[in-house]
Order: sequence, then C-alpha cells, then structure tokens
Amino acid sequence: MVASLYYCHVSGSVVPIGSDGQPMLALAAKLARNDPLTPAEAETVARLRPMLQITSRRGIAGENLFLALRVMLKRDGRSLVTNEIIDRFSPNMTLIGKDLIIPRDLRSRMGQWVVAVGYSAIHDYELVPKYVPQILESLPYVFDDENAIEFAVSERDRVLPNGEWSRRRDSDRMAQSGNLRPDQI
Amino acid sequence: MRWFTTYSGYRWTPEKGYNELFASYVTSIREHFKMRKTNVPGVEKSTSGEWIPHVLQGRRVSVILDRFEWKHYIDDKIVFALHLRVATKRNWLFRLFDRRTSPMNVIFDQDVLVIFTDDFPSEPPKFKILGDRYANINGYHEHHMFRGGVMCIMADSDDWDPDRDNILRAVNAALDWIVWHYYQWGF
Repeated sequence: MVASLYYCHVSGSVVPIGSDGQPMLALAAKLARNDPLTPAEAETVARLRPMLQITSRRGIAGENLFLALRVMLKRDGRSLVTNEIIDRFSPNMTLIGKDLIIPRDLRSRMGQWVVAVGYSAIHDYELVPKYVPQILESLPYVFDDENAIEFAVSERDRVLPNGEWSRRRDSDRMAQSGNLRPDQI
Repeated sequence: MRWFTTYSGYRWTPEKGYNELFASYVTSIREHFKMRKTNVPGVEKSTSGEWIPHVLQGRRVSVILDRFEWKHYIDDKIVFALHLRVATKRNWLFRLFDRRTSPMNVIFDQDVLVIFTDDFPSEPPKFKILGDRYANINGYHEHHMFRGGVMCIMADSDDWDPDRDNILRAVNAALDWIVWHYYQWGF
C-alpha cells in the first residue's frame, strides 16, 4: 500500500499557494500567534480566505482544506492531531489511527503535513514518514479561475494524466449512494 | 461496515448521513404507529394520541408510541428511544360503576431503548426497558429477561432471520413480550 497523492482539478489560471510549503507554514504560525503580517502575507491571507469560504460550501473536499487551514491557523504542534481533522476529512480516506504521530523531524512542518493529509489517502501508517517528503514536494495548491476548487479525496478520485477526473464528485456520490441527512428522512 | 450508512470513515455522526435501509426502518415505524415529525430531526411524536390496535398473545390490546427518537447513537451503535404505552380495554361493567375512569387500562408505560448492536442485522436489536419496573425480579430465566432490563424477545437463534425480519417485527416481538409478561407475572 502506498500513500497516494491527488491533485485538485486545474483549469484556467493556476494559483500556486505556498508551493514550497515553507511560506505557508510560517504564515500559519504567525497567524496562530497573532503576529503582524507583512503586506505580502496579508495579501495571501486575503486571497485564500474567500476561496476557502467558497470551497468550504462545495462539499467535503473543499471543507478539508478549509479545516486544514483552520487547524493551522488556530493550533500548532501535536494538538492538531487526529479527531478533528480525521473527522472532517474524506469519508473514503483510510485512517491512520487515532494516535497519529507526526515524526519529530516533521513537527516543524506540521502545517504542511496537515494539508498533505487533506490531499492524500494514506493507507499504511508505517509508510507515512517515508512518503511525507514526497507528499510535501507534491503539493501544488491549485485552484481554477472560478474558485471552484475540487479536490480528489480517494483513490478512485485520482486525476488522470490527461487532467480529467476519473470519478464523480463527493457530493454526487453522497446523493447516489443514498446517504440521507436526518432532515431528509 | 455500518448497516445504517454508506459512510465508511473513522467516526460517524448523523451529519454523515443515513442509508435507505435506515430510512425505511424509521418510516415503517412512523407509518405503523402514526407518528409525525417534530422540529427536531430524529424526534417524532404520536400524531393524535390514537391507540393502535394490536393482537398480542391472542389478546386485543392497544398501543401508543408516544415518542420515537431515532437520532441517538453510541459510537457506532444506533439507538432508538421509544416511549411506549400498552393498554387493554376496561370491562364495560367496571366503567359502569366509575365513569371517570379511562376506558383504557394501561399495563405498560415505559421508556424502551432499541439498541442495534454491532451484530445487527444478523442478530436482532436489543430491547432494554428503562426504569425500575423489573428491578426486583428474581429468576431472569423465568421472566425471559436479561439483566439490566433487556427483554429476551426471540425464542431461539432461528427466530430472527435478517433477510426476512425487520424493525417492525422486532418491535412487535417486544410488545408481545410486554403483554406476555404482564399476564404471566402481573406487571
């Protein structure tokens, strides 16, 4: 089993956000401490927020990133661990256990890790450390030009080499599989 | 694998959704007992307080499901909370002498939990009567009861067939047990 990476759909202009990881983490840390932001950072935050608000209404996948960022913004260190994150991530994400342990050398890259979890379905806990660098390197945060971000969240949601989705969206799947909210029964 | 949802993630909450099977269970109880939804999803009340006639243990009895809550869960176990009343009709002679008395003789008026264990649907749900109605009984075997107020509603392991049986059959078996216990033991 491997940790698989998935990418969001790309169409139109591509907006990379923290593609090297580090600026984003530094930003998250700053926000967590309520440190003043540089104009560039403030711009990044301003750019992110409306997207995230929009995407968070677009289903589970969007919510993942929203949550991941929220965690990054509000927490640091190991306290981000598990339930809150895992709870909200994809229903198809295979979980790596309640006591998700972040390898020590990755603690400093926690923010990236959280986002990485949002992007990946990690099937084997033992392999996590091995794949994390790969995950981190492979995080092109891209949005389409309508802010209609759609993340792939399960293995079958893999984006094909030609850029097409290989599967329907989460919202469709929920509807088709007969998942009903309490008020729909 | 949870029987009540298609959600396969780590922790299920009602917001993750229920499947059609679960919905059919709820609607079958709703229709059978003439329940109506309240403003709170997962909480339903008897539409008009109308007694629903049943024949249990060969006797005509009436049943009201005053309240039906299907929103509860404990970890991955679904729990229905029912408030059930079971009654027989009073003798006309009795009423002749005391017209103030209700025509219904209520023999059971209790909260009952229906617990769908991990083994459901291969095993029937458990029916647990809340309160101390049966707290002081001796000899659980004679009372067809497990400790903690759990009714023994199935005679043997073949009595429940997951392909054939559904929630209404289980509720009916529990009602049957209630009537049996009342006439056998007086309470």
